[in-house]
Amino acid sequence: MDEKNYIIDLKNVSKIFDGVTVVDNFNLYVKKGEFITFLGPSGCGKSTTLRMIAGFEFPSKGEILLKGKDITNLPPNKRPINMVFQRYALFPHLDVYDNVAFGLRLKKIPIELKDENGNPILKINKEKVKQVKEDIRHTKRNKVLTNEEKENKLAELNEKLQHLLNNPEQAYKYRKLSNQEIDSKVARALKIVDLDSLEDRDISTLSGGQQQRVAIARAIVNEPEILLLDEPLGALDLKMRKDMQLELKEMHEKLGITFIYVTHDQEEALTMSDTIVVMKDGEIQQIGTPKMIYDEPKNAFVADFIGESNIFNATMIDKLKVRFLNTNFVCLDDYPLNEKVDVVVRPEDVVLTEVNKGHLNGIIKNRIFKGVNYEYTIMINKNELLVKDTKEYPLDKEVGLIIEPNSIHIMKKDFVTNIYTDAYISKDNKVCIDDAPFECNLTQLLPGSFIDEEGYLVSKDKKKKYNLTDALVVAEVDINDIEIIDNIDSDEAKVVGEIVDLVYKGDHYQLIVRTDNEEDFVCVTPYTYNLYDKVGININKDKIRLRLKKELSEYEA
Amino acid sequence: MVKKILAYSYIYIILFLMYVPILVLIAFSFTNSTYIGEWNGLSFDLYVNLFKDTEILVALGNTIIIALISSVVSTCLGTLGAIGAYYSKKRSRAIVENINQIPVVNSEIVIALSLTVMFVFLGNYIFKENIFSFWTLLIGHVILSVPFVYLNVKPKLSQMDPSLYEAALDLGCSPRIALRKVLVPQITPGIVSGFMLSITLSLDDFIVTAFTRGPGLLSGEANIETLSTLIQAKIKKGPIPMNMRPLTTIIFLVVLLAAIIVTIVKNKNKSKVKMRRGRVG
Amino acid sequence: MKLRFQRKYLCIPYFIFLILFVIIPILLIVYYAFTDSNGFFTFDALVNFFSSTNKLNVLLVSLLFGVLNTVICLIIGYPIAYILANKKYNSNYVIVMLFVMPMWINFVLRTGATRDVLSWIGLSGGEHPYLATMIGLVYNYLPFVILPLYSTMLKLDRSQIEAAIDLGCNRYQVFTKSIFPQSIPGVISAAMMVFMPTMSSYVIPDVLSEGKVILFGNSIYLNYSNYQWGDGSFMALIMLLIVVISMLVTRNFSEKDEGKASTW
Repeated sequence: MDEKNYIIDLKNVSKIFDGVTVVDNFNLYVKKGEFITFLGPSGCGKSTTLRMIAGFEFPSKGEILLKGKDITNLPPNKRPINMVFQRYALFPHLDVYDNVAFGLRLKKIPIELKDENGNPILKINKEKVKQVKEDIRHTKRNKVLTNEEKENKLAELNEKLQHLLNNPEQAYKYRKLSNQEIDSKVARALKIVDLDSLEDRDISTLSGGQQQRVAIARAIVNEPEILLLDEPLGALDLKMRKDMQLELKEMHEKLGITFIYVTHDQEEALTMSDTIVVMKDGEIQQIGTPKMIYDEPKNAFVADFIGESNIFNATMIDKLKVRFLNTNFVCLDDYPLNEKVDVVVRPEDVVLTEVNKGHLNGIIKNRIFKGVNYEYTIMINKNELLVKDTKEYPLDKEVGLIIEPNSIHIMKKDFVTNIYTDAYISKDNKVCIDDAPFECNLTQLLPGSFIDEEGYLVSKDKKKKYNLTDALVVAEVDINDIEIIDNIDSDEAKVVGEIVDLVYKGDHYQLIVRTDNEEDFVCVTPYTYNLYDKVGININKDKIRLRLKKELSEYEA
Repeated sequence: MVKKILAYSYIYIILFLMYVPILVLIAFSFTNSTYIGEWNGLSFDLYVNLFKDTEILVALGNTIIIALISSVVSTCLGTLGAIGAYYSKKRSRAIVENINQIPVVNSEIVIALSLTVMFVFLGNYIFKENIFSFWTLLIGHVILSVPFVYLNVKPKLSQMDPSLYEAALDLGCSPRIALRKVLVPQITPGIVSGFMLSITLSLDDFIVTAFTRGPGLLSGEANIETLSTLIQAKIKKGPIPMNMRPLTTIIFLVVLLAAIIVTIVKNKNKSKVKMRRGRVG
Repeated sequence: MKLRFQRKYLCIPYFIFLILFVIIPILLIVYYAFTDSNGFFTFDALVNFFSSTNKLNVLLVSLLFGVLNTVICLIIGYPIAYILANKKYNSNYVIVMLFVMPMWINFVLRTGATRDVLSWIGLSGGEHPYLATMIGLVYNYLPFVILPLYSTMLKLDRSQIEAAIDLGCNRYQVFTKSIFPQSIPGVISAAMMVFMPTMSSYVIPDVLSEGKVILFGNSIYLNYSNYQWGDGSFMALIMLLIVVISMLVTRNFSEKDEGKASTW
């Protein structure tokens, strides 16, 4: 790719707040005219990245280039970038028109003159140059300063003069926009957002959707190179949001400027973007087109976050053959034999059929009518599989399931961390992984919080209480943090499983303990075990990292 | 219904009692008796006398000048302080807030005494002369009202959407211009009420004035006399001076007018026709 | 190095002002309370205060007047605030304004007028110093009670009151179980605004009792005008101490000084 095409380029950008790394070594370029979306759960650093592009935060490390020019430390008012804020941030003391005109009234443009051929020439600000020349003369005549001081000052002034002459844009004469110019620009912007009839209204009299439009008009009227949108649709109701999504997309095509959009709503991201950047914990997980991200998620996190998906632990058992759900499937991705992998199956890719006519059988445990189709939860032994199908089947019926090779997406397993996407919090504030309760530290979900005697999670300022019982969480444990207990009857053995995989890695073994429920615990040990040994598993409570599947606020007591 | 009548009669009785002293004073401003309670027939002599009474006029002038100047100073200082503190780190904000609270809860006489002690100390050991003047009085009045300006502005700042300021920067304002064009308009109601409160506090003050005043203003070489100190000096010796009665009437009317304006402003809905500059046709 | 403008710098002048004219004067008072005229450390003022029945008397009388005035003002003011804030009785701001208006008229003038009217009806301070002072105090501080109470009552959670009725409370129980507990922050801040200023008031007792009732404020004033700085400063310190104690006691209840700040 030609770098000149990049409108903005983030190079190794990191942001650290009070010792916490919020954005970690972020590398991204955005092409001119692209609609790019930062997608991720709250706290993943997407808004911080956006704010660094806007100039409200400065990176702790790395640099930001705008059309190849370093703008890392440029204040926001000097950047040709405008932002649509989460809660619009319209000025309540101004009406619609004045809000939109706000930026234009501050803007200064170089005065354009035409030379005799009709070509525009930029008028050099002679006053500025004259002033500097005057200063030089004064300094030369000055008798108070020592020679050395004089020389220093002269050098400085000469440099300034050279700079002015070399960079004529520094010396242009600037003027403010005329009222007519402002008026026509405002009128055009308001027309784009369909608000031309409301220009005299006070902000407080507008609906949420209208305020949203004013916020967009206020930003685009300045003709920015990049438009930043920070969850702009978050405060709107569902229907309004859908309409605005389409309108934004249209607007993007019409205006032809670059949009950088931040959201935690995967559907929004899929609908609108040219490119999606999936983020987690300040790191980029995957960059790609919506289709790529949906069809070829790079890891379990992306698969889980984008769309609905079934994720299973699987093992490659043969060339282009994978085993999961106790069944062997043919697949299209080639991985080495016996490699532990994650398999993603999208609910709409599973076809229901009659018993024994599919690859495997299951029992329908739950059915929700969703309008276009039914959403079934199907139990296969102890595993759940989410399936979407248009046909109606009765509850508790045994059905056959067809999973075609092209519906099975295989991802390399991340062997650094065990990720349990279907963990939940029990009544006594333990995290249940594979239905086994592990002690855990819930206060990590909210910095500075603590657990009170009644078992509520209480925020630092004691203002909010959360009841996390039954909350669905994603639990992560580093492979180094899983302890193997030899005595499977001891209290310490929280779960018992069989060693199904054993790899010698130079100085230690990496082994996989599989429980009866087919949950895998990948761990490392310096000791020798045999395949199919039964061992217990324990995890130190501080080593379990938790992430809520929903927003914390939903659990407020 | 009976309850309503009962409630209203209670309110009106208390209101009546609260206004009795003032109304009596006003009533007796239309006669020329020396003592209240003695009616010498209708007369406007006192009103004529009031405008010849330089003592009262000087005090009135001083009072107004001090109230205006000290309120302007307090409002600027307090508003800037509130803005600055609001955007400071938590720790420094807590420090400013706690110090700000001291004059709010402290009794006036302790404020007055402590300031005076300091002014005497400064006069004795640093300036080597008596420094009591208009300036010490001004400092006294500012200390009295500035914490309340702070307290009036602060809630407006916290009610404001913090991204407004960022939006202004984003649209091209320098920090200073953003402050003036976006922040200040947002907190104007707080600034105005802080200013008004400063004026009332200054107009009403006796203790701090009595302690911290020196010569100056309209009083010339003599100690500055405000309405409060003048009336206090007079009523220590006898009844309220006769010429004060018509002044009471005037003050009452001004206050009434102010109250009406405040009430109207509170109920008023803005409706104005907008003119667009730059609109052609 | 060019100093970049930051909003927090705006606080600097105010901070300096507060240090110069709030903190340093108080430190000076502490200094004078514990030194003699030669600048040596001494407990004289402390001993003087606690050995003088006269001064202890003043403290006692001030506390008594403070408590009494607070209680009377609350008893009179509470129903007024409740009625004014209740939509059933009053929906406009005019009557509230009428209660505020006297506060805008010079208070020395009002005090003088009260005294003149009282002596007209035969309650002169010379003959009934305590009664006259009490009337003057209540008359002056009543609006300070009504305002914070009114603003708290406006914020009463009406649905909570309805819930109480729904759950079978009678009118008396509704008041004791719902309305009163909800209004406690207002009561506390109202009490704070009356109690302290009453104790330290100077003009009202001085004028209305014709110098016969001496409260803390009068005593400090007297000490100061007699150049007994040590004693005056020590009494000011006691006053400060009482302020701090009552602040700590009420801290958890009160709303942050909304009362006085909401005069406008």
